[in-house]
Amino acid sequence: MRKSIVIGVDVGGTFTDILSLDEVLGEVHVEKVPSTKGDQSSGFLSGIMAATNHDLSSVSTIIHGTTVATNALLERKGAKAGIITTEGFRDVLEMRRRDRPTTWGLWGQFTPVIERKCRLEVPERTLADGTVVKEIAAASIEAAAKDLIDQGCESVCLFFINGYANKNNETKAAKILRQVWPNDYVSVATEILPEIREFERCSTASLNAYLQPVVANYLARLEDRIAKENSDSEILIVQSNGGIMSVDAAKAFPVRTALSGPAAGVVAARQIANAAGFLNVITCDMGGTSFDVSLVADGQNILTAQASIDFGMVIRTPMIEMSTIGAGGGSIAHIDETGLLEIGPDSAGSDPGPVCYGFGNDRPTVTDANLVLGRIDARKPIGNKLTALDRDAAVMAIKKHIATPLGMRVEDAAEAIVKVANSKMAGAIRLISIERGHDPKLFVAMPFGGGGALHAGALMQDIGLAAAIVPRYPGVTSALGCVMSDLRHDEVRTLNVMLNSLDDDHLHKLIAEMTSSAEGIIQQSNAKIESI
Amino acid sequence: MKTKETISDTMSKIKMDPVTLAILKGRLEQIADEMDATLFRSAFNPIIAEAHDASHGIYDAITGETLVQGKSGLPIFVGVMAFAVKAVIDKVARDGGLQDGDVYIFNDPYDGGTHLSDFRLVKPIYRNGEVFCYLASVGHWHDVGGNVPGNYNPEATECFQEGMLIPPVKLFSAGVLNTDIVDILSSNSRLPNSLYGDMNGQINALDLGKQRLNDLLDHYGEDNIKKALSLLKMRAERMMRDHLSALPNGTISVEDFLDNDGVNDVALKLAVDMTIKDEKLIIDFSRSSPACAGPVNISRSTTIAATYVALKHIFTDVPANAGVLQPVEFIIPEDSFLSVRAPKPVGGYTETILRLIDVLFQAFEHIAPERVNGCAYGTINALSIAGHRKNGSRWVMFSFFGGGHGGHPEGDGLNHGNAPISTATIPPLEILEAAYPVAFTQWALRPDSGGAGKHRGGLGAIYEIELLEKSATAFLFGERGKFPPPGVVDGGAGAVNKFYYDSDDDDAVNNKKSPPLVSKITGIKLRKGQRVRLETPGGGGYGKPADRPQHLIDNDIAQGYVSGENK
Repeated sequence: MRKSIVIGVDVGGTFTDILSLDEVLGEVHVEKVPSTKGDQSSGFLSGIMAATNHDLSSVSTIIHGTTVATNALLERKGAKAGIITTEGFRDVLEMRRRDRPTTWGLWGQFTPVIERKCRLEVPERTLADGTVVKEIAAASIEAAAKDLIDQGCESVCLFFINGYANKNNETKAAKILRQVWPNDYVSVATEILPEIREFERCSTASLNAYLQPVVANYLARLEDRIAKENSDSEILIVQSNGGIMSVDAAKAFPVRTALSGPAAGVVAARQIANAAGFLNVITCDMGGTSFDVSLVADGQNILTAQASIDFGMVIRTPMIEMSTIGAGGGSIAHIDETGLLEIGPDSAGSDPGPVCYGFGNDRPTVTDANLVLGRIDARKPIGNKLTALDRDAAVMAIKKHIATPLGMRVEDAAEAIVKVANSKMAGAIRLISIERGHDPKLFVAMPFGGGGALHAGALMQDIGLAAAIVPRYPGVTSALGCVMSDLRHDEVRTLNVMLNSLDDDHLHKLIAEMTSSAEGIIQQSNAKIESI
Repeated sequence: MKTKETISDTMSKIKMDPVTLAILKGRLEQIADEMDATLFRSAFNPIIAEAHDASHGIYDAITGETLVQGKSGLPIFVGVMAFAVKAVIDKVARDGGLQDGDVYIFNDPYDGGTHLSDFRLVKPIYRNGEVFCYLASVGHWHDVGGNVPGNYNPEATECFQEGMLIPPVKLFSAGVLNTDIVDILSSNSRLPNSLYGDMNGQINALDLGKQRLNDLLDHYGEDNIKKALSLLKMRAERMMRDHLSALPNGTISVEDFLDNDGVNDVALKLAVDMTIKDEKLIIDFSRSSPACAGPVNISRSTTIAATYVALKHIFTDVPANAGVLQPVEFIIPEDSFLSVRAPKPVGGYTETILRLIDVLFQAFEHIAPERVNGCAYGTINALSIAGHRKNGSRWVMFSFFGGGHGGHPEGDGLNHGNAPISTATIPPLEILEAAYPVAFTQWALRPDSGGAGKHRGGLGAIYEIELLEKSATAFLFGERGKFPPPGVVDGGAGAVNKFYYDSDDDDAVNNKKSPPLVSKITGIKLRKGQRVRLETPGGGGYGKPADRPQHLIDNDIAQGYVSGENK
């Protein structure tokens, strides 16, 4: 039988979105099922079964945008991990780059994902020019590994100072460590990020170690469930850079899936806009708790070299640049101490969700305001979770919390909520464009997510955006993006020399090394390489 | 309570619906944010581009007061810029001749606050032939002349040893660049290209601000914007007065000390007598030391700006504008080291304002314990190691180092944080090692340095650096070597700053020495293989140590935050 179907799966906080594409017939089928908390693979399977009439035999590929890594980081539910590092530097992860979470107020706190007693030092040292001044001894690695295993560590990060300049000591140590460590969960800093900047490298590798057991177990369960349906379809995972990778690569580098879900949506938005003839796009993903903005310039997604998932939780790996503000459909409208109307940062999220969901929240949200204004149809809520929205409850909430205190009519108060939310969104767009040196007036908006399109008109007017393009399936854009993503692998190296003293031969050798390393990873999934 | 009613009356007379006000607030703040973003992107020197040592805002046409400030600007600048704009307003009042398209430039620390490295550009915005407001930009330039590169001269006794001093002069006249001024500035810096790039970045930021503000004014009209600006200021003032009136009336007297001024080994007292009277705050620094010989003096405007920073750290919800200082009255005698005039040296102003902020935390501890935190590490610890490479080229490694933050009502203090006056980060040690012939032998948290308390102070750090070249000289400008960062609400003090260096001198003990002025020293001679070691203070604790739960004490010992030996 011909395998002609490609399936994109995006697992979000509320819904799991499925988009199946028959590449031969050109048919598209869309499905939305409730996400299953605890084990996302269960909702995942029921979704793809529903989308294929319970027959996976013609499915060639399943491409998955996942939030398992994101959630494990935000909820601090990674594995117990350890670090083995250079003598004198066990605290790099905890010292960060000497910062604090907020400009005003000195009440910051930071708990590193790997606790101090699981951060062990071994004698070894390489200088910035690559000179090894102290060789690593096998015995010290074995002793440190034993200590960490005895402490109950499930995964381990190996990180040596100046490893980017010469990885010999770290590679030797890695070989020994892999021999004695009881599982595959060994994250080696220079394998993950061979770049200068010790905190960023150590943090990225540590988070990889922290995520590895969680993500690898999830993906193994997923493979199991698919295999049990007698399917041999290939599973691919969306990376934070918008490209996709094999399940094995995702198990080895789970840190690269930290923004997997949102990245897929931005990829789809870019491709839809480009297909419609627009190369400069601002993508606006409005979900339950947040409004995510990303920029496409000259047909390309803007990538950022690093991002913080939370204070001090730095991941340095190429990622689609996104700016997030707390103005989603579930963001709560309130009157602040001085009598000003404010939106967020508190959010009712998707659970309990807006007042109109009827799950117990009584503070008005942006979605409630849109409902009261008749901009959302109370009889036709999206997804299969609800049959109707409670408009009366939304009216009551806006009346009690906003209209009465401000002396306004309920409809005016609802309009005011939408206006202030629009203004916040417009601010986020202006800042992400100006910071990159782009004039927002040369861009079109591409709203997606549950509520994005509701605000597109106001955003165009406020910012002077050229146009807005609303995709055919705004609610499943991320699932669509999964299907549209290319296989991709980024390699980075630091070469710390002045241009005039650059050694050509050395540079060529380095590029050849990077090329073969990237080829190896891509070929794991039998794909054809388009460009390097 | 009279004042409060007056503000509320005035506020209710200005008719503006809360929705428009909320939108205008966001749009105005965004203009300042966009100016910040423009300069961060275009500045040549890493102190602005990486460490964000700069700030932008919108200021009152008559008083120079801060109306709107960017979110990402350096905290201490947020406080001083009003004085910088006022200095220009006063200059114009004396000389006349202000026109549309003018831009003033200057770095006078006695009228605009801080130190000579910080250059300010101030631009009037005209609407209908009148000044509607000012826009201003401040940025820390890489080198402005003086005795030492980078301008942090711990032995200066006059500002002339610290760099060039430029009073407010016109960089642009009616939109035309005065190239003579650019020539004078450039020829007084060791790094003229960097200076030129930073200055142009600031000019661009002001141009962008003008364009954005004009768009907004065209759309909403001058009256509405004016109303919004005054309402925003009154909101901040009303919040501040509400906070103050919730506190008990009375006077609190607190003092803390600087180790010395870098020239004479005599402690300097920073004393405050702080009075709450209904909704007014009177801050009296009269009992503080007189002006000193070394560079830890500050100008009156810097003193007020540092107070603003402390108040914003304590009352974080009050919007950042002039309203914060409206209910505050200052008493600062003219002979105080907190109110100096030219040519008293001010290069080490960071140490003094950090102490001033500590003193205010200690004062509020007595009336608002739920709002304060133990004192942070309280020193910038500017360490420089310099020498020549084998090929004869000169290298200078100059950096500020971190320490612990204080314990606070919500938990333990942050380990290895940045100074409360700044949001700057530290360069990666791998970047320092790649750029300079040094190797760090330790870069670690300093156990036992956090003050004891129900919520322990955050830990300071240990930085140990070995020289890899044949020889070098080093200097350090630090504080808190004798007087540790105090805790609050019965919390214990953090550990004091310590500095050691290897020495071949006869008076060295085990080949190690510490400076006689504890953490200020110049001219340390190092040879290959010798090390310097900086152990920075931790933060003060919060609450009684006896109230710390046993499981947290056990965890501190298990993790090695506390050695468990003497404590």
